[in-house]
Amino acid sequence: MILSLPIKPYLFRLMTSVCSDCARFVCFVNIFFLCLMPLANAHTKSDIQFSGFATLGISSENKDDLGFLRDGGQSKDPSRNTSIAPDSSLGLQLSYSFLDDWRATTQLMYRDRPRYNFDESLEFAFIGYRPFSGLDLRLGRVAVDMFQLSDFRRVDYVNLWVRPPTEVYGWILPSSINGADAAYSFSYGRSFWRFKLQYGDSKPVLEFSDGSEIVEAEFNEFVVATVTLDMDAWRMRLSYSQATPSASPLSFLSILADIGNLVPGPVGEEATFLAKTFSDASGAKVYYSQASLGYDDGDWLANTEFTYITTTGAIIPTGTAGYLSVGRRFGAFTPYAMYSRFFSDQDLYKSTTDWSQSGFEALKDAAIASINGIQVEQYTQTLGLRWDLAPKLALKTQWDHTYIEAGRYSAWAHTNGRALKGTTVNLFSVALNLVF
Amino acid sequence: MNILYALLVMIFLFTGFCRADIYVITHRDNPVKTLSNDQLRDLYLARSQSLPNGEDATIYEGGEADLRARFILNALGMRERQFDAYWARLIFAGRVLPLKTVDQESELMSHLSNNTHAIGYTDRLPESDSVKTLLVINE
Repeated sequence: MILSLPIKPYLFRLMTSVCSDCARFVCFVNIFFLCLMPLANAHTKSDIQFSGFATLGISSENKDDLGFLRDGGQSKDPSRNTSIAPDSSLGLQLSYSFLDDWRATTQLMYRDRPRYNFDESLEFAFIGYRPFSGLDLRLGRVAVDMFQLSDFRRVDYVNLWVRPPTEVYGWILPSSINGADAAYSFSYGRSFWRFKLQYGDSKPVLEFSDGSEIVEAEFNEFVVATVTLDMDAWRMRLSYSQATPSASPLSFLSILADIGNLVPGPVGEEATFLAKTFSDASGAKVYYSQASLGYDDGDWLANTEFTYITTTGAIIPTGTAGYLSVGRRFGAFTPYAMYSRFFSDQDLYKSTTDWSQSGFEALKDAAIASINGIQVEQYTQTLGLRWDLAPKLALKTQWDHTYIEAGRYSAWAHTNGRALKGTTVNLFSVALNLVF
Repeated sequence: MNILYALLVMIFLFTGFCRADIYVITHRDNPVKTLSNDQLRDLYLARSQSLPNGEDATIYEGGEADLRARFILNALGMRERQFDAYWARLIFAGRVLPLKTVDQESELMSHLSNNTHAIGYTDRLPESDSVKTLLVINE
């Protein structure tokens, strides 16, 4: 049993980190905005506003060789059973409005990550401009708006549950992009419409499923188009996204290619196939489609969301994912239930070649584990209770009962040996959420 | 029977006296004369940042806990924690800036008297001639 939240390494690495290209870009945006401050003060109304959110959460599951992950961008430790790391977070946000129509916003978030530095802790930093009421333009690092809860997925006070369902939000990357977006919104009668377009790049960092190696991924040419409709108690959202992902070359890729060139017969052919699968993945496109419907009349809350993910060859989980959630407010207490599921549309890769005489069997196993290791297929039944014990403060407790299909453990920290058969996991969580 | 009738009349009158309207107020020189319920809802839910005359509005919320809850329920049709969650979603997604908050009515009056396009609410009929009423919300 491990109880850990790596605060000290975070602080140390934060102080000693070197800004990457992304950070330099965002730093430039912030310096630009700081330069504008005197100008703004000299002219018209300007304002600095500080706000934040925090969660102290503990979760515990009953499998010694599986580690619970709230999302794929966290540190992965298969032996982790009880921990405050997956759900706990602290976000600090600074906003500055100036020249009437301009604003600059920065959000720093501390949460469990594979590694800690300033660039990766900077959730967003952008300059916003509103040329007229209804049109909002943002430039810099902005939260990516792929799915219904994407751009506030770590602000747990907002959501009914301890966390968004992992079947839909546990595996998606990234959380922000460096780029720009434009949103146009208007009211028509009792309805409120919002259209939004985003474009940018991102470099999320993730770990192998057993935590043994860090992978630097890239999502380039990320485009997100969204339409949202609010009407009375209803909220509807449709979105379409596409991106071109790539990852830092795996350590065994060049050896695999050499085996393909040098070893004749089935072993060489399979090595060539595996090497090609990895090289083709770089530059392949990924497409995400999403539809959601929410209802909240003050007493009853219901929410459902469906997503469809497909690719031209990238090594990512693909298939259909969704959830249905219902809750009922009784004063300060809201009991709720949810069912969420990810259906994979990929077959597991199975080798038909005997590599035992080649001396490279471990290499083949690692390559196949990397291909199959990204797959997700599981469902979760959730029961929980939210208690709004004070304004802007909520305490939640939740039980998740999850069934994971054999070989499709990507939403969990695990070792390759665990993947051979399906299993059932019970996860108990308690979380205190705060916004200020 | 007469006693019962008298009792009902007294209960009706008593609840009538207890019921306090909420006044949506602004600077007296604001060219906008009235706001509809939908316009007020759009402003407090960040669906619009402009007054009917096109000028950017500065929106104040807060005040005594009871007044805030009553305003959110009667003017916006939401529970207080629904409203807080709604605004947290907007703020931390980086979509809008937080609403301006006040703790006391005197603080609100001070802001309103200095900003022509500021809007706030109170449950007392405004006595100061530096502000005017845009909308009365009946509870």
